[in-house]
Amino acid sequence: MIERENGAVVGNGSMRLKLWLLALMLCVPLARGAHAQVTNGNFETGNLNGWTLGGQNHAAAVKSTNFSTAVNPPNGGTWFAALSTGPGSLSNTTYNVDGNGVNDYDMTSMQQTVTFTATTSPAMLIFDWNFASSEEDQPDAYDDVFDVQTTVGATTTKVLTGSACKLDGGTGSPYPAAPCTPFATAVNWTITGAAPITNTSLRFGVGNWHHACVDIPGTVVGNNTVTITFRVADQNDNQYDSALLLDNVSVANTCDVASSTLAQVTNSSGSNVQVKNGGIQFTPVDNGPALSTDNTGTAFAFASTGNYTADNPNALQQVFVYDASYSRVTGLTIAAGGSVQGVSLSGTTVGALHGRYVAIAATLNSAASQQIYRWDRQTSTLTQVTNTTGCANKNPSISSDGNRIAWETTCSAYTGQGTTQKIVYSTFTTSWSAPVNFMSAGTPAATCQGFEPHLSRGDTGNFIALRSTCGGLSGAAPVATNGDIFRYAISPVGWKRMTTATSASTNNYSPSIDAATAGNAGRYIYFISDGDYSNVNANEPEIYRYDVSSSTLALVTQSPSNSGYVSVHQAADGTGALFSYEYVNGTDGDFEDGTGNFNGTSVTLKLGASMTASLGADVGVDAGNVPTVVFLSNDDLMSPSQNADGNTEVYSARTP
Amino acid sequence: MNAKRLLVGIALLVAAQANARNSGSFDIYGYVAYDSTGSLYHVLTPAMSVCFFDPRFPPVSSCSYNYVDASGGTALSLVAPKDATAPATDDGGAAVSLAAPFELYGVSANSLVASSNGYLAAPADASSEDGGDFSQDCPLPAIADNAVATQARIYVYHADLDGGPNAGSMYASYFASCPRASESGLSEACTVVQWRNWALRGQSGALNMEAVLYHTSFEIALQYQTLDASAGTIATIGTQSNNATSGNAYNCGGPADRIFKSGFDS
Repeated sequence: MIERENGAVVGNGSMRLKLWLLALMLCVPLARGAHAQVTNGNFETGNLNGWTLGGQNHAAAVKSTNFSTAVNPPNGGTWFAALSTGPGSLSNTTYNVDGNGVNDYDMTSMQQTVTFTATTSPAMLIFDWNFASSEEDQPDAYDDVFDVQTTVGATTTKVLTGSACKLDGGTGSPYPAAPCTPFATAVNWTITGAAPITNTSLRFGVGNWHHACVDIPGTVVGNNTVTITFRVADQNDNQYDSALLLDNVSVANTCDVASSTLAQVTNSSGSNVQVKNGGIQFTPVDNGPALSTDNTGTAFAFASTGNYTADNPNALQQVFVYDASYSRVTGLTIAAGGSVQGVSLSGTTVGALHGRYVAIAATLNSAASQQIYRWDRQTSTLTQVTNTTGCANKNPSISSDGNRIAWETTCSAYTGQGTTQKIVYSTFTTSWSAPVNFMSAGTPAATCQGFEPHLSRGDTGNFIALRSTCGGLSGAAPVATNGDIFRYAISPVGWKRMTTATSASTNNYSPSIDAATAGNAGRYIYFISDGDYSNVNANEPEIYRYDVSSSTLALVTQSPSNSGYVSVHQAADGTGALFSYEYVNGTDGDFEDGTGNFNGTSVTLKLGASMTASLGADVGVDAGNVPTVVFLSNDDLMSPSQNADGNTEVYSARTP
Repeated sequence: MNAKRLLVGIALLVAAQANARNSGSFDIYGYVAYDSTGSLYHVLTPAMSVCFFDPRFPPVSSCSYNYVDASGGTALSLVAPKDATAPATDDGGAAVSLAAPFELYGVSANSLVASSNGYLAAPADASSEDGGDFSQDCPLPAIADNAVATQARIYVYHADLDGGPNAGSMYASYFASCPRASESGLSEACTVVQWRNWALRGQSGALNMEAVLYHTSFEIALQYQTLDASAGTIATIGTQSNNATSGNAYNCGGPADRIFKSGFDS
């Protein structure tokens, strides 16, 4: 098993490798994360190319001069589309658009089938609309209608509907009334010079534009084919005209992609390091492999060879904290040959510090053993948690108060079970307690292991989510070679089991526990598995959430073939709903990092960025309840370029 | 801050900079360096000394040169770092047991490691420094990049030095009454660590230098009897605290930018 060498961003190594290979195999020169654009969605071609008309085919691309009183498109541009029921009577063909049994006439539809790759589920249909009707002062029975439908597979859904505004507040259609125009009496505007809808009568003029962003039901993360259909019809007669105006039709991952803020936080190059026997060697900076954010996602601890505090010209890997500015963990100076394996930032804000404590797994030099340390940023005090030789302590997870750390250890001095990797924890009062091997009852003791500990963050770290191959903790020994997901409660002592895989090849990994408080502490555990526990797909690695209070396991994501998730990290907002993810899109082989919001039945995923390689991610939630995914990548994601040298940099993507 | 306080602050800042420019470099801890020449540009010359004063003992703006012969003391035996390919005289360290404690950045040391590359380290134990740091660092503080490194250091003349070419030797000698009087005015003991007939890679000329460490005032006097042809332009001369949190480079890859490249580094 190849473990990710990162305490905060730990995933199943073999699965990550598998996905990497998948990504490499499937890498094709597509624009990363790009959705196929709706063809001619802004109609700036001056025509309706790309769209298929139906019914009476009375639609045209129009601009302000096509109205007797100028009508401007929203948000700039010149052209927009108009679907008209006029001019006047077109046909006696009847329809029943709104399903109320009243005949509709002069229906025109406009549709387009779009194939796109979504990184969220559901994907969103975004457009601007304006419904102008001459029926505003007419009896309720003459309630002209429009709707917007999406069709995925055999399922067609009306995602937006509307009917004519009635000045008297009445209605004839089950479709909700659209907003009225500003005019209380007829102003008798017309459409001109736009065959075939020239002379369409808009007795009450045209009002304000409206922006719509609606779910496209049935879309999944991955490839989708959706038919978008706009319809307008004249209800109960074919005399008084109405027109549906449309502009800026698009499909997107989120309603406001522009509001997702991607930033490259670190911007490193390298150092000229003197080499023996003369000469200079340029040493690129490597940020990583360890990264851990505070609860807000604004600060993070990380390992780096950078010279951020002007005292590391020799590009030696050190631990730094970025919290508006850079500081080095000066109590732990790592020599050549030493390394940082993992970091965990305590998360809660203490005074001005976003995350007071940093748990660190590091090897101080080439001859040292890997130990666990805790750095107190407030007092600049380092305490050494472990003191062992000939074994490793790694992947630390620290509690919110900084006084408990859990980690993986191969030290018999702590486990009493040889060099087999177990998880232990230690608690700080006036000093660090002797590490507790809470897995000691696991069987077979000599071989069963523990991995990926994560302490609950809303309390004092009373719960530990982990992966284990041990039996006897909670039920029989896992069948899955790499183990099942468990939760251990320190007080009162107790085990919960999240998975019971039935196949040896099932991969469960990346357990992540919540930061809830009181009775909800330790309630939600997210993890990734290809075990298809919900019997819905073909064993892609998906995100699951286990609710301990109801003992229910929910499938959070569903991926297309050859795609899947690499890591999931639950946010520390305490709701158990927000998380970050790393995902491999099998279509183009790219990694996609973002955040998700799972309410128990449905999930909304928001893409932070797509990239060739994501090297670990974590998540925070700011005071506005906006999640931010912080991740490592050596891609050059910004425009203009900020990482042309391909160093591993820390990026941050805020996803409102 | 009101205007009056601001003006006072500016005046103090100007005074401090003027003082620095006329005297020596300094760091966060408070070490202040002066040399024996009073030169503004701090060009090393033979028969010159550089003193670093611990802030607990108010510095004087002078630093006398009085080279001490340490050859009557202990000849230091250099040990190469583990897995090193270079001989110990090129990259190696020798333990120096101190007859009396010496405090560097306020931290007491009972032993030092003297490096073939022209520095003294104050490790917690001798195994925490291998003396193999050959790369001259600038500015200070700078985390050292030898495999087993202690950051608390006195950089006497730190560069890729070698004792081999001139058949050099190293000595350490304790004097209960130091032959070179400290600038403190106290009569105090000292330990002298000396590099004799040492060489800088690629440079001609023998390098003879020493560090005089005083056990009461904790003054550090670095003395240069002879210099290689580079005359210190590619060496670091200074001090650095443990964990590289503070550093004072008197000379750092050349003297021209000493004040602003070194004096304000930390």
